[in-house]
Amino acid sequence: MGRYFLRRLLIYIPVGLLVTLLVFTLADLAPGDPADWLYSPELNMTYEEIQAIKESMGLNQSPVVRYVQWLRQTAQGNLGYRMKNGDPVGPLIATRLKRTLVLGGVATAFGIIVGLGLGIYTALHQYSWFDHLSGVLAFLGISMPAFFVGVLGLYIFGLKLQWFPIGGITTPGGDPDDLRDFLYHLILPAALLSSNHVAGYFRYMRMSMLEVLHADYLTTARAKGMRERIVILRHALRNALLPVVTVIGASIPGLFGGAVFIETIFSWPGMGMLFIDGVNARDYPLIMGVTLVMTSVILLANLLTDIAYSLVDPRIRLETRSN
Amino acid sequence: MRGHHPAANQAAPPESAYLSEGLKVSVESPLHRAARRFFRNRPATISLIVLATMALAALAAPLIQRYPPDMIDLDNISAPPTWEHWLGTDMLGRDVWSRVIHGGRVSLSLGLVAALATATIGTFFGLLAGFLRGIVDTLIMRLVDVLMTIPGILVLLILVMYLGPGLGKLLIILPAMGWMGTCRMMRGQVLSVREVDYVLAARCLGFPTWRIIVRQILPNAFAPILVGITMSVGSIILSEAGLSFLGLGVQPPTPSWGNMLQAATVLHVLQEMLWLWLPPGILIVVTVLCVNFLGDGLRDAIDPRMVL
Repeated sequence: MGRYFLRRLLIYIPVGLLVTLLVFTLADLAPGDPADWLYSPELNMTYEEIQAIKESMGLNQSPVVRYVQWLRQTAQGNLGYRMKNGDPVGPLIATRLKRTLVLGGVATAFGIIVGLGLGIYTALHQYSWFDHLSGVLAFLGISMPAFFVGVLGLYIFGLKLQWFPIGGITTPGGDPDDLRDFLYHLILPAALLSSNHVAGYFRYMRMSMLEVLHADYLTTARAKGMRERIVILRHALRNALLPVVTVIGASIPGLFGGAVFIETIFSWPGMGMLFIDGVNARDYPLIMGVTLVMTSVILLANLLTDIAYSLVDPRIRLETRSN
Repeated sequence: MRGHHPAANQAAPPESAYLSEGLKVSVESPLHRAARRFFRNRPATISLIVLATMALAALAAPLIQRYPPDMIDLDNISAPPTWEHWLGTDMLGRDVWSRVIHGGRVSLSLGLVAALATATIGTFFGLLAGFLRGIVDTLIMRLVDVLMTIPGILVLLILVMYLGPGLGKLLIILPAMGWMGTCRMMRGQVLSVREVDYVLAARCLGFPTWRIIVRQILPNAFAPILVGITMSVGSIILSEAGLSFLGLGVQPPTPSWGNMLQAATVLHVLQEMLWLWLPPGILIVVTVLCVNFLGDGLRDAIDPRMVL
């Protein structure tokens, strides 16, 4: 297990470094000087002081040296300052990231519960009317982009039926720490964000389950007189889940992409909205910070997926050992 | 064929059956067989018809429009659908039906052109990585990994920020960010055939690499490339619509389905003026749905390993 983990980590480190290189290059291309980013404009420094800092930061150095400098700053948690008002980017991202992770986490949980549940059920009842209906809905769900799902959902459930609030994270004027109010605001955007994933997980789960259901070892299990429930849950499901785990991990980047739209539509002040604000204001430090943090989260999620996969599939671990 | 042989639906009779019938050997051409298999797939066929109709409507937009797309009808501002304006008018009094078909022109042509560019870039880098291997391969594939890790919309938005929005810029930005899938596929294709006998034979005969690529590799990769192009038409239309929805894609007054859908971000338009945002939204979904069905159908029809 430890060796497997180490091997995966060794694959992700160069990818992560390349991501930072890409972000650094983009940041370097941006107009202005990195010194303007790393020191708050509110410090009101004189020209000489700024020059001295640039000297000390090594801005007269080669790009390679500057990249290492930048990397060191970033590793220390200094993501620079917003161009708009000089606020530090790091703490701002920390607040926003929490909200996006809640939104994305609930959406993923929703996708897993509904998608996998439906997938298992329809695989056991193949060709029933419910199976056909789910299939059509899933195809629709996959083809519907987040921005249209969001707009349509807001129109139907927010404006026409008025079941849910139309935006924000809490009721204005209410208690901002009211958990029930927060959840009430969370349900609709999270459910809409998950629509793509429900459909995707469902299709994969159903396919994977159908494949497993024809396996000989199920016949063997039944022949041994095992109860049907045990056969399905312990013998079929465990094997059918294997490929689905990778699909769930691979869908995380898409989740962040969808969050950009859902957050904009529902005025959910998370990373997606922050990013759009940054792009509209051409606030480079903010944009680079958001990109860096989001990508790190995704890489981490990929790593966790790999670990989860090796936990459910012992073959992966053994393969590494025999190499 | 179906009419003559009742058994033809089940399985084609073995070739020896034809041979014993007096040497009437008719070998079906691959193209003909692919077409026959494609049209047996009902969702794919319907999708093709729908897409062809939409493409035709987009091409003939100046003929089937009822008003010029930017003509302002001051008597009908924000008017609901009527006989005069089939899909109503927007806040400036422009005819929504005309704007929808002209928007289709923009969205569909951008999708098609950008998808071709995407396939070209992806094929080029895939071939490069597969043939040169070594350090070039590593560099290209790591770049692909990185680009596939960052959510696409983020990179698209960053590029838009540097280059600015607009139709022409999208033609560069969208292929620049969409080639990774084709690249991976093409590289796999090269790696799997480069040790195959006919490629070895070609190399033994001293053919230059470019000739092997053009004569051996590309024809064999035709099917996946075609399917890849089809699928990327869908994803590019979605990317364009998404960017335009955020106000960073095709810029008004040029209509595109994405920037028409942007009207829905204003709450009272969303609630009161359904005719402004529902038609472009539905058209985006229908187009992508059909493109996906078409891609599936093409893959099943062309792949000789699939048994239909």
